[in-house]
Amino acid sequence: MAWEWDSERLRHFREGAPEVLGEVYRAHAEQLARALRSVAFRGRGFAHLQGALEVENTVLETFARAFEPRTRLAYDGIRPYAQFLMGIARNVVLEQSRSREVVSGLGPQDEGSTVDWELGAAVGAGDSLEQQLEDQEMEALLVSFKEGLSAEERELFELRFTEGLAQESAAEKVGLTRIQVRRREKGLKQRLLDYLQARGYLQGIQAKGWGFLKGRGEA
Amino acid sequence: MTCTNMKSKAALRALFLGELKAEGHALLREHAKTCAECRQSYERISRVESALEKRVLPKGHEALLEAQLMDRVRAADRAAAPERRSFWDWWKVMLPAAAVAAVAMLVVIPRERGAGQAEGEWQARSGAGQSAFGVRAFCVSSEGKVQGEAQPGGKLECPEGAAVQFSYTAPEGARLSVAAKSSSGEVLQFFPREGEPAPVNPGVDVPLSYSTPVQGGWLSAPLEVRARFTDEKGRVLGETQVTLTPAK
Repeated sequence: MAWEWDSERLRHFREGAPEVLGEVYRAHAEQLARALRSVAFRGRGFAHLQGALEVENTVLETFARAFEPRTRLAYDGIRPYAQFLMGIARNVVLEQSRSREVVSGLGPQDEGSTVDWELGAAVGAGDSLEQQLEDQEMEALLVSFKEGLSAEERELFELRFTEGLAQESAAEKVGLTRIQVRRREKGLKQRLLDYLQARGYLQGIQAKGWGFLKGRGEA
Repeated sequence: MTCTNMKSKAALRALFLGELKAEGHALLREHAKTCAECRQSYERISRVESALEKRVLPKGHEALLEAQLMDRVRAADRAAAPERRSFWDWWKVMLPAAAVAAVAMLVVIPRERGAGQAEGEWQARSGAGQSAFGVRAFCVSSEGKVQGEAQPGGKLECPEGAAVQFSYTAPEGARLSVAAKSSSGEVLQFFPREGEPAPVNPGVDVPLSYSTPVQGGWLSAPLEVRARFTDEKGRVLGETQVTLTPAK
């Protein structure tokens, strides 16, 4: 995704304006996650990045460091921010790898010198066979689930979950209100969860009813 | 091996349904680090969402991480603030002494540039690393009140009779020079008072040991002050600039 800096945006970024930090984060988070996943299959000692949880932790840690006051000031607004970010991510990942090696009693391993840390590399090119098979299983389950939906439901499912349209835009397209879309969407997600659980997937999560982790002010 | 943490199971469900809040997401990720069962469930939920959205980082997760990120940014900014306050406390005590010393020692010392010094010294940095070297400038009245402040890249107005004080941030020990070139081409050296760049210790917002009184007309036009951090071999570690302008 192209990201343009101008002097005003750079100034607000350096000052730590939350809306600009949010823009920068959203413009680069997926790209960084893709690059991290890609690195997982190309360098010794980085296999932990094959997991979603580790990728998310690394994305969060990388941005947290990149958005520290001093680091914000260090960015010049000239070189690509993705490149700047990847330099920080590289350090985060190497630190993680070193601490894992210490914990597991291994000697120094790949320091990342032979790994291509450039952003934008194709993801999934080096997926393990196990992961490929699981992806195929998942794709088949999703296809099968969508076949069981009505035409209207399928359209909404595609708009919201596959194309990622905002609720307002999806509501316009299918001729519903946003509230209606929200309710139907929740119903679809619930049905998908039931469907997957009935087929042995996502067994480890609570079937229904939860009340511990609602946001502040919620009933 | 069965996890009995029902909060985590509920959080996993809420995550899948898009109902989990950032606080719950942080707790869940923390729990999943040490619980293989919940970690596997987390991975599977992520896999379903990634497959649906054709993304590595599903949008719902991206939004939850953003909220946690902003919490950390706010905390980091708050942590940086007290250091500035302690600087002011220090400054109130030190200003009279610093001002006297500054006047006595004529801290703005013109320095002839050697023939070998290229114009490139004053060009914007290029190829700098990701380190966070920087200098801030403050305008302090003769009563010791801070009248203005400029971040790296910023502008500081300072009237005749006040003093300019710099503070630096250096993630590692370095040699520092702070200097400007006047419109007539004369080099004004703020730090060190003269000679080669002086060593400074690592630190955040460390005030330089003396201030520069605005007097004698040296600040009659905008002046671009450049701070350059170098290592022992003279390699540039970081470079920033602050523009000083006379107060109207």
